[in-house]
Amino acid sequence: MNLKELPFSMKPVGWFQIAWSGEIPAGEVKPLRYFGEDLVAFRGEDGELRLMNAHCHHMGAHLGHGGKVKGNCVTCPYHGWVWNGEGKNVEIPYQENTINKRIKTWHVTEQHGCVFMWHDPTGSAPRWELPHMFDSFREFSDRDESEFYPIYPHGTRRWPNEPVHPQITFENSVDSMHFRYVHDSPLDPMLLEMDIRENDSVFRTLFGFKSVRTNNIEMTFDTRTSGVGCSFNVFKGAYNYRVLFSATPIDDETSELFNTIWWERKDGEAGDMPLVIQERIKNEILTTVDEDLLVWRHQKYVDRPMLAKQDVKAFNMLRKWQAGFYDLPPAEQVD
Amino acid sequence: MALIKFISVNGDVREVNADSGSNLMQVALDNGIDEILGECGGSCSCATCHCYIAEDWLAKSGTPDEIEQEMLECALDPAKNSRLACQVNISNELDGMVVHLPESQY
Ligand code: FES
Ligand code: FES
Ligand SMILES: [Fe+2]
Repeated sequence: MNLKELPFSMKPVGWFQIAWSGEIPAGEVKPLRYFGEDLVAFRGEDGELRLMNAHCHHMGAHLGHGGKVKGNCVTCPYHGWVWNGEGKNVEIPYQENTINKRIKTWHVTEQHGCVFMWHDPTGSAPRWELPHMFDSFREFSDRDESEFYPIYPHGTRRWPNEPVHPQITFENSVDSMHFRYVHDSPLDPMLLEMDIRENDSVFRTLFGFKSVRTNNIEMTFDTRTSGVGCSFNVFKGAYNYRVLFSATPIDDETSELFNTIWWERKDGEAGDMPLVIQERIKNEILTTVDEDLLVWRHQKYVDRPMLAKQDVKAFNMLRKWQAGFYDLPPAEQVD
Repeated sequence: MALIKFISVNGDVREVNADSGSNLMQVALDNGIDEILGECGGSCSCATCHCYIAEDWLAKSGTPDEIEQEMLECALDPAKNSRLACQVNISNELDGMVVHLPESQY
C-alpha cells in the first residue's frame, strides 16, 4: 500500500503499542523509532519505564545505543551527561552547571505486560485511557489474568516494517466476510452488536461464530478498538483466548504491527506455557496477521468503496469515527 | 543586590531583584522571564540568552570577550548593545539596569 496516497496522515492521536514490558527489564535501555522520531525507552531501578527523544542535547549521540541506566536516569554513551525521565540534564560529570535545554518526553503506560505510548502532534497530555484487557471486558467475560499463561515471549509476535496504515488494519473489525476468504474460516461470523463508547475513544463490535455441526452460535468475540492504534479482542465459548492487535506508525511510509495472545490455562495449572501450546500459538494463532498482510501490503486504498449491502452501515460508522483521530486541536489544560 | 528591569518587546516591564555573584541569565530564569532560554546553562555555547542592554548601562555591564562576540553572531537580530545574559555578572553597580528582551531566541 502506498501510504502517500492516503487521505489521512501517519500522525494520528492516541495510544500506540511500542513494546512488551518483558523486553525492557529494570536497568536497561531500548532504542525505538515511531512517528518519525528516534526514541529511547529505559527502565529505572525503581521499575518505572520512561520514554523520550533519543538524541543527547550535547552532541547528538543516541541514548538508546550504548546509554546506561544510572538510578532512574540515563547516561549518554558519548561524554557521560546524565538525563532524568523528565528529559532534564541532571549531571555533567566534569562541570558544575548543567544545561537547561530539555529532551522531549512522551507519556507511556504499561498494562498486562504491554507498553503503549501516547502520541499527540499538539503535545497534549493523554485525552483518554486505553481499554483494559481484563477490566474492560468484565461484563462480557469475567476471567482473571491469573487464568492465562504469561504472554511474553511465547504469546507475542511483531511485524517490524510493513507498508500498512494502522487505520486500514482495524477495518477488519467490521469486515465479516474477509474471515472466509482471508482466514479460511468455515463459517462467516455475524455482527451481533456495534457501538461507540468511552467518550468516543472505543469502537466496539460483538461477533458470533456458528458451529458447523449444530448451527448454534458456539463462540462470540468482543472487539474494542481504541482509536486507530490497538484492538482488544476477547473470545468466549469453544475457545477463550484474548488477542491484542496493535499497529504503530514508524514513519510516513511504514508501520510496526504487534500481536499478543493470552491463552487460557488448563485447570489448576501453574507456571509457564507448555511447549505444545507454544507451538500451536506460533503455527496457528500468530499467523492470522500474515494472512491479512498478504492483502494489506498490496492493497490500494479506496476512499468510497462499493460496499456489499450488509456492510454499509458498519463501515460507514467505523470510518466516520476513525476520522476523529487526526488533526485535533490542542486539548484544553485542566489543572 | 541589584534591581534589574526587564522590558519585553510589547513594552511590559518586570522588575526583579538579583543577587550579586549571579549572572543575568540565571536571574531571568529564576524569575520566569521566558524570553531568556539559557539552554546551555551558561557555558556561552547556545546564544539563547541573548538580550539588549540599555545604552547607558552598556559600559557598566562589561565588554563581551572573544567567545561571546562569536556566539553573538549566531543570535537572532544582534545589535551593538547585544549581550549574552549568562556572561553578564551581577554586581551592586548594576542596580537599576534596564535590559530589553528580544522577541524570540531562534
Ligand atoms: S553527546 Fe551526549 S554527552 Fe556528549
Ligand atoms: S546560556 Fe547559553 S550562551 Fe548564555
Ligand atoms: Fe483479518
